[in-house]
Parts: sequence; C-alpha cells; structure tokens
Amino acid sequence: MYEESAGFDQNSLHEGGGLVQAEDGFSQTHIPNCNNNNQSFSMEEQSNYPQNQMSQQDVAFSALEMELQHHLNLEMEQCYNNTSSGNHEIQEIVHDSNWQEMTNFNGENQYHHQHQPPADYVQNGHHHHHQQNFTTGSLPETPYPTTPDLLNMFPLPRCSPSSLLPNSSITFSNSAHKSPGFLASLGLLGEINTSADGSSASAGAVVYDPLLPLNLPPQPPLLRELFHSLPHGGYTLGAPRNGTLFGGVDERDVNVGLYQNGDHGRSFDHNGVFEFTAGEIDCIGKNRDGKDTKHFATERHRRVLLNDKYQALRKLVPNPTKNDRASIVGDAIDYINELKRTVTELKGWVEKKRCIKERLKRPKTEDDAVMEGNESKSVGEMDNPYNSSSLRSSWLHRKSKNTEVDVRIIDDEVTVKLVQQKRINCLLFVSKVLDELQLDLHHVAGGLIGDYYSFLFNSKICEGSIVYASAVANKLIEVVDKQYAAIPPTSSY
Amino acid sequence: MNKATIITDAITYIEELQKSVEDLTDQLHQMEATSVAEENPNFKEIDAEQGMNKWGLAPEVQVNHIGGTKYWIKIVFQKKRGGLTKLMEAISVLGFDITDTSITTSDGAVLVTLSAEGIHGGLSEADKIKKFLLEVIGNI
Repeated sequence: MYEESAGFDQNSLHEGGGLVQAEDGFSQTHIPNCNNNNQSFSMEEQSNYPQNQMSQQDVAFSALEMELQHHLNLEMEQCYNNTSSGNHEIQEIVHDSNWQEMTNFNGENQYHHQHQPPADYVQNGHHHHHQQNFTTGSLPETPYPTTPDLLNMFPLPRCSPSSLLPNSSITFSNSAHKSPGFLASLGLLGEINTSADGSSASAGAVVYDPLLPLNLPPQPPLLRELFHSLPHGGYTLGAPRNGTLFGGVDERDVNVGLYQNGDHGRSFDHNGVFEFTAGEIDCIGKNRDGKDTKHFATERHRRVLLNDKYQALRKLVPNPTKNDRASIVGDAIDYINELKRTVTELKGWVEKKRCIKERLKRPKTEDDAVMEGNESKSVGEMDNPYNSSSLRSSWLHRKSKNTEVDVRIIDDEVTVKLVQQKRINCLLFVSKVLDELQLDLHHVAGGLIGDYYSFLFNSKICEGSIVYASAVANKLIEVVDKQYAAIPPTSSY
Repeated sequence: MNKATIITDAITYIEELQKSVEDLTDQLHQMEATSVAEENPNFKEIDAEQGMNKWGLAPEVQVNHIGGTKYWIKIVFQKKRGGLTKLMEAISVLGFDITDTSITTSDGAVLVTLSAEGIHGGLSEADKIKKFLLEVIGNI
C-alpha cells in the first residue's frame, strides 16, 4: 500500500484520517510498527496463513483502499470520540514503550504492546504486500518481518464488534479503542479483519486472524529494527525530514517531525487526525537500512548480556523471591546490606578476640577471683574497651519456602523470631540448635496461630562463645527446614 | 552509570562481601580454636541450683485437663544446659501439639507453661502425664 501511495495518499488525505487522538503516541507506535515488518516477514513467508493473503491483497488492494478511505473517517471519528482517554493511553503507551526501554523491560510492557500489534499487523501485511508488488531494491538485507510474529507477540484480546463500526471492514482484535484508531490512522489498512469474529469481512477482507493464535513472545526491540528496515516506497516525506528522523532520537521526535509536516499536503480532518502513509514510513526507514541489521544484532546481543547479568545477580542472592528484574534488584539490595552488617559484626568479633588474647598475655593481678583462664578472660573482657565503647548489634532476616527466621543480636542477647508452617514440633529442634550454639535460653513465647507456628526466643550468649547472626540464622533455617521436609504433610488434627 | 554497569558492579560487590565474610569467619574460627574452652555454663548451673534453693522452689509439674483433649501444663525445674531440650523431647514423645507456650527463667529456675492438645484424652491421662513429666524433670 505504501508503494501505491500515490493514489492512496490523495484519497487518504481527503479523509484526513490518520493519527488518532494520540498524535505523538500514534507516530511512535507507527514507527515501531514499521519496524516489525522486517521481523515478521520471515514468518509470513512460512506463514500459517491459511489464506494466501498476499494474493488476496493484490487483488483486492485497490478496492480495499477505496473502502478504507470510506471507513477511515468513520473509524477515526469513532475512535476519536471514544477515546479521549484513549488518547492519553496511547500516548502513555507510547511514552512508556520507549523502544530503548523496551529492551530492558521485556515483560513489563507487554500490556502496552498489545496495542501495537494490530497496527503492526496491518503494516506488516501491507509492507509485505507491497514488497511483492513493487520490488524496491531498497529493501534491506533483512527479510521482511513477519506479521504473525508481531501479532503473536502480544496476546490480543478480541475486539467486541460493538466497538467497531458495523460496516467497517477494519476490525481490530483489541479491547482498547486505541488500536482501531492506530490502525486506521495508519492509513495503511486495506481491509484488515483482525478480529476473530470476522464481523466485517466484507470486501475481500485480508484476514490476519490466523496469525493471532500464534503466541510468540514479545520482542519489543525488534519493532525498532523492523521499522528501520522499511522498504522504500512512494515517499512523501521531504528529504530534510528524513535526515532528522533518525538522528538517534526516539520515535517520538521522529513522529512529531513527520506529523508536523504539512508540506505534503496532508489534510487533517476536523479531528486533527493525521494520516500517516506507508510511504512516509518507508521513507523513515530508508536512511537506516544499511545499519539496521547491525544494530539489531548488537542490540540483541546487548540485551542478552544484560539478561544474563540479571540472572547471575539473582543466583548470588541466598533466597531469591520472584524472577522479575525489580525483585532481583530489590533482593540484591537487601542482601548487600545484610552482608555489610555481617562483615561489620565479624570484624567486631575478630577485634574483640584479638584484644582478649592480648589481655591474656598480661597476667591479671587485680582480680583474685581469677582461677581459670576463662575467668580471667571474662574479666579481661569487662575491661575491654571494645565492650564498653561499642554495642555489637546485627540483624538478619532469612526466608525460606515455609520458614521465616529473624535473628537480632544486641551485645550478648540473641533474639530469634521464628515463623513456620505447622508441621513439626519446631520448639524441640530450635532448642537443640540453641544448645549447640551455646545460647542460654532465657525466655520463649509463642504458639500456634492459625496455620503457623510463631515463636520468639530470647537468649543470652554464653561468655566466650562467638555467635554471629548469620550463623544462627543459617543453622536454624537449615535444621528446621530439614525436619520439615523429612515429615510428610499431615492432615490437621 | 547505565544499567549494565550497575548490575555488574552489584555482582562484583556482592562477591567481594561474601569473600570477606568467609575470610573473617575463617579467621574467627582459627582464633576460636586457639583459645581456651568455655566453661561458663557450668558456672551458671551452680548458680541455678542455688537460685532454686533460695526461693524454696522445687521441681514440680502440674497437669490440668481443660476439655476435650486439651491440657494445661505447668512445669518448674532447674535450669540446666540442654534441660529444655529434654523436656521438649518428652512433650513430643507424648504426642502433644503445642498450642501456645511461655517459658521464662529467673534465678536459675525455669517456668514452663504450655497448653497442648494431645491425641490422648481423658482425665486419667493427666495423672500419667504428670508422672511422666516429673520423671523427665528428675533426669534433667
């Protein structure tokens, strides 16, 4: 359709369809959509299209275009009216889905991506179609993106027919109004029936539905690459604009430039919808053809590296929770703080021990009660400046699948909080562990609360023994978990 | 600082910290090995006995049956290393499910109050339990 833009453009110009409410947003999504073309191209080749849409498109294309124009305005109006909020959403989506960011938050923008696919879909189809019809040597080395890829990348909810014009041949399987707006505004649409219900399917509808069921994982960065490798076509963009399009700025700027260009005689309908023709998209892609494949490869490589790093970080943390990036970073932060506390604690112990040893070397004559080495040691400890000046404190929190342990050490008191899902008599095991660690149990309180055992242990460190929080916590969790696992789940009494 | 470098730095730093924790623990263990063994617990046990005698406390057990299979048990015994563990073992041997418990120590005496739910039932059981526990305490 892009190549045929000459005829179509004029028509669409009259329509003034195009960019829906979200002008910026549209352009942004628009460009990425084009990017997708490259990606999905190969898919299309092997496509699962039951129908040979290309041929269909070939035949029906001009017809589609005409019909499209008719529908476009209607669509636009409806979309525009429907989605004043949609505008914001679109813009939001677009803003959010800054393509550079997308590489970093693969899964997180999935929702946003949903709104892209229909447009991508359409564009891809068109591009592909055009490719076949007008083999522009400008097509880059990269194969055309496969539309199916994109569509499947984003699980598209089916559009309810009610949201679409009854006569519209452009139906989009997207719950949000935006997508119709997007697609329509693209002005690229032939007759595209993306909804499963096939509500329209009038004039030789190009059915992209078959692609929808394929659920490919989202690959946002692909979009950008795709866009860059748009084929040449009947550009209506001015040359200077092209140059600025990809000055390393994100699509938003590009779109703004494109959008603002009124030199091409685009007319805006009363809604201010700007129709972005395929030609323009092609033009945008043109300048980047040479570097696109390289960018794609390096970009992907970079992403893979970054993901590996996130996984490596996750492996370092003792009890990782969720597998998303935010949790990984959060857990890492907690773990680093915990390690720092442990290091401080251990250093304090080493220092203390060293002082004690030094004191042991000097005979104690002041205290007559000194009879054993230990006692002199304890006396020495009392005089130890370390004892008087600093308060040893440390805190540790460990969680395992069904146990939670919180250990706090203040000076020589150890407080342990234990929460465990009821299965075993953890009191017994805990007291065993505390004995091993030479901790003097002073107070215990707790019991069964609902499904969980919750206990609080207050104990004192026996003089001379070295206890540090991580040892206590680790040991406790280890023992309790072991016992827990050893006993199969019992039915409640 | 971009994301990649931040993550890389975090990884390096964590490894660094882990290594120093390891080194310090090793160092501490070495120091521990060369130091004199600790005998303070014995010291405290002597105290415990004195404490109990001072207050005229004697080891005792009280078992009350509170409906169904629930018991309320109160135990007083002398504090000793590993004493509580033995008691806990006994309780689990009895097959009790501890509903809630409170253990306090003061002056060498340990007071254990717990309400437990057992699989046994009946009043007669209470006496048996009491005898059993008294035995256990005597052995601590």
